[in-house]
Amino acid sequence: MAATSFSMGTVLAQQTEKTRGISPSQIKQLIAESDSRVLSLENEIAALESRLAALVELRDGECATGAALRSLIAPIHTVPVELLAEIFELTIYNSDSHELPGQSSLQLPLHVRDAFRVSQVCRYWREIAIGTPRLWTRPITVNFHPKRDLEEEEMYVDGLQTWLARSAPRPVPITIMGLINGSWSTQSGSRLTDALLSIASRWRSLWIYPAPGGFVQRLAGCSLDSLEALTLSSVDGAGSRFGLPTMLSFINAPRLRKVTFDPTCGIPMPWAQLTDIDLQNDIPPEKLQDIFSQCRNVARASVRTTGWSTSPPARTDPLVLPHLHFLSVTWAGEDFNDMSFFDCISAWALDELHLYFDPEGADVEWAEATFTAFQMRSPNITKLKIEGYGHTVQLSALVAVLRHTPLLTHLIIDDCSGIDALPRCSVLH
Amino acid sequence: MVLLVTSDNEQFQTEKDIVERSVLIKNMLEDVGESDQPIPLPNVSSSVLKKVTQPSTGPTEIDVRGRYLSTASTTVESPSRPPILEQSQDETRKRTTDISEWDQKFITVDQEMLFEIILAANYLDIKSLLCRRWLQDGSQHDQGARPPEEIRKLFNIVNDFTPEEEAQIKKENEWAEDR
Repeated sequence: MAATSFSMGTVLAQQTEKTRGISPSQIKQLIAESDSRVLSLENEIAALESRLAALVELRDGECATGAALRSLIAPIHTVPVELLAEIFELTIYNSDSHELPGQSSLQLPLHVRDAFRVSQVCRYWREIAIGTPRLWTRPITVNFHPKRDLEEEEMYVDGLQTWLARSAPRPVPITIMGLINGSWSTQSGSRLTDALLSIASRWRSLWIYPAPGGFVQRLAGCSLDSLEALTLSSVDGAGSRFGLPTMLSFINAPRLRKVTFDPTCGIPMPWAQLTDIDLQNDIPPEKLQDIFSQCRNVARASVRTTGWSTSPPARTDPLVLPHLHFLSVTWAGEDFNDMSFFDCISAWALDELHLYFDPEGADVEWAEATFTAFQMRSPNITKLKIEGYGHTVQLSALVAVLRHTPLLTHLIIDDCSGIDALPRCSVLH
Repeated sequence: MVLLVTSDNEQFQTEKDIVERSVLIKNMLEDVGESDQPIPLPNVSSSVLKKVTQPSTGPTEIDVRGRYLSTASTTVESPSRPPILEQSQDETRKRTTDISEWDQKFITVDQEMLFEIILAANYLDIKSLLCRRWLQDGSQHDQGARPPEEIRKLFNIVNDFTPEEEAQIKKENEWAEDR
């Protein structure tokens, strides 16, 4: 409402002057006349408002007509459905598919927002977007956050179900996020669990950081036909965060190739079919030997090894890993450590080797003969990285390493003492 | 050199390495082998083919995403390269600096030609020419899709949702946008 252009004080002064010396009955007559004029003006305003509303409606109608006509000849309508779908896909924000849940874990990634946005432009675009499952198959983090109230929980699950339904029948990458050190809310999450497990056969990858025990228990009974990559980051040695780890098994995941987990938790894996393993706890060489003996198809391996838990066994023929082309070894643990792990394997195709010496672990004696023998069995290494964290590597040992790496093109040596001439060395070609 | 014939019967002598960016033409050349026969492009007009294959000569050219760039106000590292040769995203990122200027031109300048180029890129199978940013927020790079109302306004699209669909969309947004 517009502000009045007069002040009540002024009006009062005017009327006081005007009515000076006249009787109250005459003033009442003036009041009646004023009320009558107000009524008349109100009627006039109502008529004008009605006319204005009619004009606004007419204008809006004409705007709609114009927009519809412009839309009919808009060049965008010349774009065929399949091309439009491709453009939708290229438009959606490219979130980092391997982004770890963390700071913004309560927020959905931007690609979720974008997929919904392109589906909300018009009915035609919505039909195309909803009919294009690949728009809805980018990674999604499902948060079992116990602090949501019931209403928020319902909304969260509804949204998730919509997202997952639109991705069907394609496989989807799923990350499950919860409180690492918190307790699980018992009543929360059951609908969420249902929504997730109902499409377990479509999980392409599964990361757990971690999940509630109830979820894991029910996961044990699911078929995981599409699962290619699995990360169980927070399984500790006892598996306590997983509730009942012994119930879990991924033996029957026929497509599983890539696994990141702590093998000491005892969850069975289909080792023979794995090509990419990242073993996340300190594992004695005999256990590693056992694992490698089961995964002869492994192409990439990252391991943390400790000293032998028993006396080193008598030398046997090394395990042949014909497909291994990337190997990362970290020496950790407080027990006596040596490099005899390298006696256990032979990797002809190995192209890239990383060696890390954990600063928290026991000192490792560089075994030149062992390492040279390993290099002789792996003559195709082109990239070598040694991260010393202050560990001592003698210059003569380094020279021997380089001498037996004839195809080396990339060398990084960082923080190794004992090679003062090369305190930090990075060689490319 | 390869001889191309457009839908309006104009002939273009074009370098082979340029036209082979088109998977369609590359396949045609492989099928016919060494030959002087012209290659007909019945779905591409001469004006569009010029935009796609010819070096820039005027003050305005189109880049790989279909953006009209004013060379006077925009950093263009290789203005003489035909857009068909541009491949890398990094490279294209470097090329455009004034997005809002582009937005302004994009809205007011010849959308018809832009969409013809997109269709031609699709027909010729030139992935690098399929614009990826025209639905994206132009104010910053890699900020994802524009809001629906902006897309509607840009491309003259009518919001024809029913009230029920609007309600569903509102619900979707509570999940996807408002968190």
